[in-house]
Amino acid sequence: MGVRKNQRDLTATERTNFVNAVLQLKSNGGYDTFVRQHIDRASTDGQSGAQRVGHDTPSFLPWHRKYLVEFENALKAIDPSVNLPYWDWTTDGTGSTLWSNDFLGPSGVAAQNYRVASGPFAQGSGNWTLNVRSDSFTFLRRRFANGVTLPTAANITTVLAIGTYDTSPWNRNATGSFRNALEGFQGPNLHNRVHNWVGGTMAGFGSPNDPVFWLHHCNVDRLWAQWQARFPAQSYLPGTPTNTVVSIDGGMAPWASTVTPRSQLDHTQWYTYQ
Amino acid sequence: MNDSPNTKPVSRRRALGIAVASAGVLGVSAFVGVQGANPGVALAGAPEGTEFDETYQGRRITASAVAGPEGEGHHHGTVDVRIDGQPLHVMHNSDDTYTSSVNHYESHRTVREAAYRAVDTLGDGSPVGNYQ
Repeated sequence: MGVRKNQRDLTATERTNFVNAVLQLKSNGGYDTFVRQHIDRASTDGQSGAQRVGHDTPSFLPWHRKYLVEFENALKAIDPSVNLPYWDWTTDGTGSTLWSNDFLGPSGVAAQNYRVASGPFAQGSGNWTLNVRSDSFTFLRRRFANGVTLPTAANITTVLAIGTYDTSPWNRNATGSFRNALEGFQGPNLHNRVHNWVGGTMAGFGSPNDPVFWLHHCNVDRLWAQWQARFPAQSYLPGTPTNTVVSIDGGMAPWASTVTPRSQLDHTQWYTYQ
Repeated sequence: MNDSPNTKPVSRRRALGIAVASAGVLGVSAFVGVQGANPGVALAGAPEGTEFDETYQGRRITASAVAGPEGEGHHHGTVDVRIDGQPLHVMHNSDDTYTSSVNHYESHRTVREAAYRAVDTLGDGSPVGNYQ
């Protein structure tokens, strides 16, 4: 069983091992498959009448939990010691060592259209060209804090106090919904705004092309786990088949029909959070 | 729409849009060419702001409403949006806002605002529509 740590608590060796595993997954083609899955999901989620599986929907949380486990397993196949780290947005902003050149690298250079120019994920490093994309850029881009602030601890306290998983109409209009507040369409906006805070590649369909995607969603997943521990009597909703969304026993594309929200509720079968 | 602090002030964008649109008279003749190249069917009762052809930040932006499946209302129609001819994937959300592939985690009140925001984010880049 893996232990997922705060990225700031990783040892130098753990940081290096994580970066190297990600670079190897990129070089063997596996990484781009994950990017493709996200673009497929994001574009389908917005089609009229289509079932929304990954975004703007109750299964936003279990879909991404499964997506992260699959990615983490792909890294473990390369280096079994690697676990996904999480990014606590409330403590690590622009000055964090998260963005150092031996880890995820810095924000982009304004004069170069916000190209990330150093670190392991700069295109110039020779190891990180964006192949599967929803825009024309083959290089990673970031534009930190462009009119956006990161969520505060108070924002998170507000969202974690919402005692109902989700509510009708099961989309961005849902009120009194933990899922919708965590995803960011209502309330203080947690998940969506962090994508926008990083900016550039992280703002679009192809956001997993930025490795910080995984650390960001790991923190989203951690908050869901905290909510589950706080409200053990509350489960995923909707509990019965509901038009255009995935109910608790519905299958989540692109995985087998057995990969339902219910199958994802107990994360301790795969990992714990430190 | 959410009320979070990261939502851009819309009033400035709307004001810009009006100024650009009123200066873009030449767009009318060019729009015919775009329609000719696009198999989509323009809706007679298209929602306001889904049909335009203008220049923003030096980029040509065109938008045309495309009919949705039979029996569905205009909320289910799609919008064909292009930046210098390249298709920008724009979704019409359940709260009547619009979201593009370039700014997947934002919502905008109009197609025009979504397109402007995409141009601002892309700089000299372009959207890629055929990512499947």
